[in-house]
Order: sequence, then C-alpha cells, then structure tokens
Amino acid sequence: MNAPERFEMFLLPDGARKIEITKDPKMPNCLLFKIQREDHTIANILRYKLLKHPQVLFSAYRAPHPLEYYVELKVQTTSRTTPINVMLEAIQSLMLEYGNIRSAFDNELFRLEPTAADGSRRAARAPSTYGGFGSIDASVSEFGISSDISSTRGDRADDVDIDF
Amino acid sequence: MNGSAHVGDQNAPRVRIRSLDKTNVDFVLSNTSLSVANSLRRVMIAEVPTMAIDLVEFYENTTVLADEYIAHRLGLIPLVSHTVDKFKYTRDCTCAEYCKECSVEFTLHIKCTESGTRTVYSSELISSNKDVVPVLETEDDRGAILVKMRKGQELNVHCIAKKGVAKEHSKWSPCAAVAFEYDPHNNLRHLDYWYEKSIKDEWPLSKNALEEQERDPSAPFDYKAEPTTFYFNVETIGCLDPQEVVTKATRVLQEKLGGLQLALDEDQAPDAAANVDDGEPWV
Repeated sequence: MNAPERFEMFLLPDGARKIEITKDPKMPNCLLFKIQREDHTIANILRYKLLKHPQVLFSAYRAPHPLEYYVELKVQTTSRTTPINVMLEAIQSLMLEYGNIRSAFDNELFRLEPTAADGSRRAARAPSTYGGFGSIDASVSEFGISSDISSTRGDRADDVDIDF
Repeated sequence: MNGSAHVGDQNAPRVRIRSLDKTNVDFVLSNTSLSVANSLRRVMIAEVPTMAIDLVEFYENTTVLADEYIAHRLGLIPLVSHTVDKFKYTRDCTCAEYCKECSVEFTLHIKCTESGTRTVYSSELISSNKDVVPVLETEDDRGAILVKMRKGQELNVHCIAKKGVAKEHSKWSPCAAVAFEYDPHNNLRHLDYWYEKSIKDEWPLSKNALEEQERDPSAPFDYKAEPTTFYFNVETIGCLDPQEVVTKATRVLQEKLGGLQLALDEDQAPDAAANVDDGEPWV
C-alpha cells in the first residue's frame, strides 16, 4: 500500500544529482560515490573493474536497502591518481568492453547468416517465419573458426559512440 | 589507459553462437569477467525496452471476467517491438496523456451473437500502428485467449500500449528466460553441493561440461582462478528477436555508463576538485 512507485527504481527525481561524492574522513585519497537510481548491474561491474586497476587500493559497493534506489561505491587510490580519475577510466574501459562484446556478437551473426547481418531491424508482421533466420545449427562450426573471426575483428569506431 | 582491452586485442571478449532460431540464441561468452557477464544477463531480463499495453478503457464488459482481470491479461500480451526505438517514453513525451509518438492504440469490440462459446483471441486486437501488433507464431496462429463469451455477452475496450522496461513491470520483459552458467565442473568451488554418497552420481553434468576440462583432482586448488567463460541461452517471447535482445542490452549498458560519465564530468567542475586530497604521499 505504501510501497514506492516502481518507476522510482530508475527515474532520477527532478533536481537530484546522479552522483553525490563525499570524502571519506578516515582514509586518504578515498571517495564515496552515492549513485542514484542504479543497482548491482552497474555497481558490481565498476567495483570489479576498479579492483583490476593498479592504482586502486580499495573498492567496494553496497546497496543499503532494497527500497532505496541507490548504491554506494567506495574507492581509494594511491596518491598518483584520484578516485574520480580511476572511475572515469573504469567507465570508459567498460563501455569499450560492451562495444567489443557487441561487435563479436555481430560478427558471429554474420558468420551464421551473412544476409541478415545487422539482423535486428526487421519488418514487424511477417508471421510465417517472422525474420530471416530459420533454425540454424551452429554445432557444425568448430571452435577454431569462430575464435579466428573474433580475434580478427576490425576496429569499429562507431561501437563506442553513444548518443545521449 | 590502465588495464583496458583494445579492439582486436587478445584480451577482448569473444562470442561463439551455438544455435540461433526465432526465439532462442545460445552463445558462449568468453574472455570477460563474471560481473560483466552477469550485468548483461540482468539487463537482458529487466532493462531492454519493449512495448506492452499499459492503459485499458472499458466501454462495455458483460463477460464473466472482471475489468481488472481482462486489463491484466491484455497487459501481458507480447507485442512485436522491433520499432520500439522510434517511440518515446510517455514521461519524456511532450503530450498531455498519450500520443502516437509515445503510444500505440488498440481496439477490441466483440459481441457474441451465436449460441455456443465465442473465444476472443489476442489476434483480434486492432492496432493503430502496423509495426506494433500482437505476437503470432505462425500465419494461422490466433494468439493468446483473452476471454470466452456466451450469447449476449459483449466486450468493448480501448487499450494504450506504451514503451517500458521490465524493472517497472515484468510485462515489458523481452525474455521468457535467460539461462546462464559458468564453470560446469565446479572447478572453482563456487558451489558446495549437497550429496548423500557421491557428488558425481547425484549431480549430473550439464551439456556445457563438454566444453571444459575437469580440474585434475590431485593438483593443488588454484584459489586465484576466476571464471572467464559463460554459457547463455536467451529465450524471447517473440516481441524482439533474441539476437536483438543481446545487442540492445549492450547498448543499454553503455548508455547507463555514459550517464555516469556525464555526471562525473559535471562533478569535475572547479569546486568538485575540493573533493580530492592534495597529494600526500600514499604508499
């Protein structure tokens, strides 16, 4: 009855800041990022990516309450850089990673069905088959072929360009 | 940049599609981390936008089912959503309530006049947009059953379908299921199986176990090992193609990260520099 509206989970309220940054009083070079309207999806990948960074000494997150839609991410770095800088690096590196996953996936689609490569956009109601793909059994292709393709993947600059 | 993979790099993620049909894509994602693979799974289930009926106006309902019950059934009907990117979210739209920029209208007016049972199917909904229609598997598929009527009963409704994500309501989820597995031999010991006499006899291996080697039981346990290969099977309900769900999920994730980057860049503005320690040596 008094449950929050479901859209509160992802809709940033008017005037609220997406990220609030506070300095940790006890740890040097350490910031606490309070990220509004995000959950484990984002916090966990950032935490993990930050831990891989050689200048990061500490990185952890928590989602304090299931009905409060924010996560807190604490990051401590060496004095050679700042938590904000490593956060930006982690974000960029992750954006690149998802772009790489997408281009690897698209290359695989192309290998399976060259004509429907950019397969996603297809006319809506074509009920008989609705889409170009029949049932494709990829088991014929062995490991070697596909890994070849994914490692020779070209530079696709457009993959990391996003419109906001 | 530290620790990042470049395109074409050996460290870049790899994908191998094992099978693909109109509702399923089975693929192996490797050379990436558990958190990235899991974020992809979470986004495919809950944050890829689709279209679904969200508002229903009842003009006449003399069927045995209550208005709310029928409204709920209408909401759950999968709608073909390949054009979902052309729509705005209603909350972002300039219109007062709904318009064709942010919604699709459906009408359904059926009166049973013959004796016997009149079954109403989702394919009888009349759409205002030829690209957004109830999902039908084959040419002669009539869709899901909405309600059954007998002589004299009538149903006259007007529905508004909107764009949304499954975080708000699961009717917007493009996926029926996303199967996700890693380390089928439990080499990393992330699982602690319950068993009576023998783990091997009581816990049969999945088909993904054929893709990986079992760890040599006599070798010392590698406590630093991390999972790198992930087995996905994305099953859709027909509103989007399965390969479309995967590519859209990667875009959604990039947009989320982009939003964070933007927010951080704003914080980089002059006064935010006060947040940062001024270079005491820290070793």
